[in-house]
Amino acid sequence: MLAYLVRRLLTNAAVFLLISAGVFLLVRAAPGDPVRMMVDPERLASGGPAFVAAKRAELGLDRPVLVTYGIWLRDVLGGDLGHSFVSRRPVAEVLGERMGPTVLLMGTALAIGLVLAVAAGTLAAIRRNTAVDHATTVAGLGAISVPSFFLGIAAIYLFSLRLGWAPSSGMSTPGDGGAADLLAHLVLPAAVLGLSIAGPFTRYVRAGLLAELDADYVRTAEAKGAGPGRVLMRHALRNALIPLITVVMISVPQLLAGAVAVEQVFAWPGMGQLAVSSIGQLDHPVVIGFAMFVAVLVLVCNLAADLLYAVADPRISLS
Amino acid sequence: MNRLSGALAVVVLVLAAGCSGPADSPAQDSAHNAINIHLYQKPKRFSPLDPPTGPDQQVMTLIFDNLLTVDDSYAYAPRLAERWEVDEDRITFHLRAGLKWSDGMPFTSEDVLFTYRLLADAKSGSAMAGKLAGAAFEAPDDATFVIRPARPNVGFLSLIAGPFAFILPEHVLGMEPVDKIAGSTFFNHPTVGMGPYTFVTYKTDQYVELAANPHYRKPVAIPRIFLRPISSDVATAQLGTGEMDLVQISPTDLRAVEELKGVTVSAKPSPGFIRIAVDQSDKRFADPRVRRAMLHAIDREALVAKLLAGHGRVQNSSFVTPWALPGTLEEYAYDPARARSLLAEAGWKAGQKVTLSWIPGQRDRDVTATVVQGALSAAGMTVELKQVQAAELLESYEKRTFDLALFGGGSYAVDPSSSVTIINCAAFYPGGGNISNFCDESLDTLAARADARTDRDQRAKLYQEAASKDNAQVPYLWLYNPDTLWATGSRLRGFKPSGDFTTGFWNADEWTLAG
Amino acid sequence: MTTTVTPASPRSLAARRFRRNRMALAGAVFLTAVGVLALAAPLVAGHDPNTVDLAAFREPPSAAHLLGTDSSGRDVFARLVHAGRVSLLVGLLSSLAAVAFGTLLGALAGMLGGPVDAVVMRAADVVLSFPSLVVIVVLAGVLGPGAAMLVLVFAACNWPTACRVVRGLTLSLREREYVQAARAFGAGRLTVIGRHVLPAVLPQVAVAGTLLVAQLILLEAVLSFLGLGVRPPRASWGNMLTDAQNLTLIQTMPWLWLPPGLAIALTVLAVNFVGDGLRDAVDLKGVRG
Repeated sequence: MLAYLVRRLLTNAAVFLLISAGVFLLVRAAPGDPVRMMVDPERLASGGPAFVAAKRAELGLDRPVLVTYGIWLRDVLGGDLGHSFVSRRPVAEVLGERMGPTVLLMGTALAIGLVLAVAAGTLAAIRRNTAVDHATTVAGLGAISVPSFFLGIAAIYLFSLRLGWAPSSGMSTPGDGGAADLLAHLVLPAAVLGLSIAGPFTRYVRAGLLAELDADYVRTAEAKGAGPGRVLMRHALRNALIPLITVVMISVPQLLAGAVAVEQVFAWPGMGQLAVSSIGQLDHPVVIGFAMFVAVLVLVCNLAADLLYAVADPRISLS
Repeated sequence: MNRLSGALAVVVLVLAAGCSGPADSPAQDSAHNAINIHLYQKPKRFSPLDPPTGPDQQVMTLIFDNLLTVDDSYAYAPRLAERWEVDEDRITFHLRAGLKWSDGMPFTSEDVLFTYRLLADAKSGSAMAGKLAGAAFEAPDDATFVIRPARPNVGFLSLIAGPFAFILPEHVLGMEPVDKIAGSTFFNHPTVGMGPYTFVTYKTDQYVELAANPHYRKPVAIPRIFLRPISSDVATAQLGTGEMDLVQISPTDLRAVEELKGVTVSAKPSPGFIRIAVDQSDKRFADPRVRRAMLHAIDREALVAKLLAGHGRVQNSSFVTPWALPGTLEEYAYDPARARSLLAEAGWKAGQKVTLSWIPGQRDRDVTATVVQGALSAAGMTVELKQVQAAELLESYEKRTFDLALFGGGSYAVDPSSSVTIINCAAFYPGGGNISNFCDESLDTLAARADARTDRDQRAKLYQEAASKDNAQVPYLWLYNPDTLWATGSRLRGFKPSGDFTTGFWNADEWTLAG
Repeated sequence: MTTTVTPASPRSLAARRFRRNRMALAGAVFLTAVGVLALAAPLVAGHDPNTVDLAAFREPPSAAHLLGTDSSGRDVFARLVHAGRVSLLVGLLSSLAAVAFGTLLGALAGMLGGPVDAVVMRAADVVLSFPSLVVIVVLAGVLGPGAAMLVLVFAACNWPTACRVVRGLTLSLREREYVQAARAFGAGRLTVIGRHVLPAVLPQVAVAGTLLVAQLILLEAVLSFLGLGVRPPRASWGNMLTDAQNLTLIQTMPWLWLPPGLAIALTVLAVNFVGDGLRDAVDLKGVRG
């Protein structure tokens, strides 16, 4: 087990190096000059060749890519992700302040999604092949078929503009900042994101539960006289949820991607929004920092999923 | 079925509890003394050394102050300088007496001198260094500041009036080494300024919070301001709910906004215009008849009427300042037949491909691009649309690899000298703003002679002659000069709309709250 | 391969089960209709999708313009059917490419095991770790934006899913008696892959592929929404929906956003129904009643 873990960590480190080099080269190979981007093209004063040259030197853009990569890697190992071209603030600080909102949004969405999925999936499995089951399946498919940004816009229209139940955008009312205010802002984006998460998870819950209900031990328990509700809660559901944990782990990075569009629609100040705007501004250090964050997240989640799977199911040996 | 509906009911209840509870109660008390202003983009940081960008300038107008600004009729308006004298070789500013920084420290001409030396020094990373190059600065006494431009330039004032050249506190920044100062964290949290408001916090990409400056030269009526970068249609919607007090709106949203109760919409001509640069280093476009033909091919009146809902004017000159324009200009009316015959005269070969590049994302530009493509195609040109990122577009300007480039903006209303950079032979991009690579030396001579005269009538005569040449040669395909539309809620009083949105908050110290 | 229809053949069983699934059938019918419309776009559109008409600006639906006109005076119906071509093509081609590539690698990894397996699976990790959004933006710049770029990037970012499924199946197949027997009789690994593994995993792969089509049509829409996908004036359902970002338009001009929005939602839903039907049809364990 320990040997396995060490080996996985080592490969992950190698993979991380590979990815970092790839991301760095890709971002730097992208056309366009970040310094030129700083001058609003619509309000062109003189571009000022001297200004541009000075800025390029200051940002290290005048040096070869491999040299800058070397410097970047050295700094990263020392815990320094560099400075944003745009705001001049440390990348770790810029990313850090976005992590909270994103984790909050994703966590809440995940909770909403899981609750919905477990409820709907269980219901569907118990009432297999009834109207309830079919309705759940259709609803689940519907949830993953409607683009989440579209759902978001519709939600703003209905709940914010028409009904006035929740604010339409942002994370807080300026000057308020209370928990209730935060919750009000959180509800719509989290519900929209949660709904799109619930779709696929419902399917896993239903399938897992069906498999368990067919399993011998359930039949045995039933034969021994355990009531259906007890069997369901005690044995089947718990066993069915174990694989779901790994599915959730693996889908975390995809959730982050899904959050990008939702953050955009609701002006939620998270990492996705930061990534999109940084890409547009050619803010290389932030884009690279974000990409590396996602890469690490994926590696960690995959590792966690494998470990959890092994812990949960002794039949699988890690070697 | 029961269980499903039960579960649904619970979910709905939970959601409803989450929604309705807080939304209607909080923020009202604190919002009572504050106004909310919409920013069309996210601010980055607040440094007069950085290249100017709209939202940063809007915030800086509130927290900083400069020698003079531009008012709602594009005339110079006094700020820190009470008055000034323009001579051929120098401008003398007389500063107001007894001013204090927001931290209570006294303000003197030394601060102005410190700032201008910094702005003119390329080592500081100042984007204004090129404009101010060669100028000399003096502070003969605490209340006087003198600028001597490198060459006689009466239009010099327009370079520093408006949302530029904000004065920085020497007692805060004076110790920073010049080559490091541009990266100073002061510009992320500029808590010391001379503006009517002081900087409280910037929750990145969410809102900027400002509070009235207790040391400002007169009492400020509104205690708190929040500036929020959100999408314009959401901002428009929030005008209706009272969550927003001041929004710059687009013509698309005009109809919806006009239906909102208590909301006032005002329109002012913007200081720039939407245009298409035509790369004249490309021989195909060197003949003025080709450029005239393209103007005749485009129904610009229809663009203004439909796209801008009538809130704009067809533009026929690179100059915007009214007194610099001659009485009559060739109007290049919509005439596809004339366009075709001009192209034929110029020997335009049908079938050669022309690309029209633009940065997508703004509805009016996107529509204009497709409309222009259709119009030019109808006149016999083969036009291909090319969406580019801003950085790609600028690179194509520099390498002269574009054919036609659609863009807009600029600030040319205050003084005609500001238009010179887009047509001057010595200002080819990236050395200047002449993206079309247009060159007519006689036009440049006229402008230079005009800027060496202090007499306004003499300047006007020379500039009008230059404008006639410009009008005949079509350096750009001028499209339209759009109005800047502002919508204000009923709470905000005293807002004087400016056509230049970057100086839109120029009279913030006169704003009051209703009720 | 024999195609004799015997009641016991799993394939015909699956076909019957699929036909009995009304949702899947409805999905298939809807998709066929969408496909025919898209294929016949120039014939049915009635207008050129890119011709601008300033005189007919954002007009509501009428006899001349079935679904009205957009902000540039272009016919919305014409754009909708032409956009269908782009959206479907991007979805189909990229998922086909992703699945083919993933299946091949997955079968090889599962069959050969050892270092091949390790390399392939780590490569899958690497690909998954690349945030596809960043990759797409950068490649859009380098290769030039467009449908071809999207197909390439979507395929490059999505092969690991099929790869993992196929590897898992191959691993379990490898231990089955008939595969062991074939190996014992001297069949090479590649032969085993071609003869036994591929046919056995095909149903699962078809399901994964179908569901991927749905995902990728959605992804194209999202990217276009963010301004990173298919570029105008070429219409895709995604970039037609860009208008939906404006609340005023949502309120007052539904013909601009409802048709492409519904087209995406319904098409993706139909694809998902079909995929779901396929899954149920091939999943023998699911047979019960």
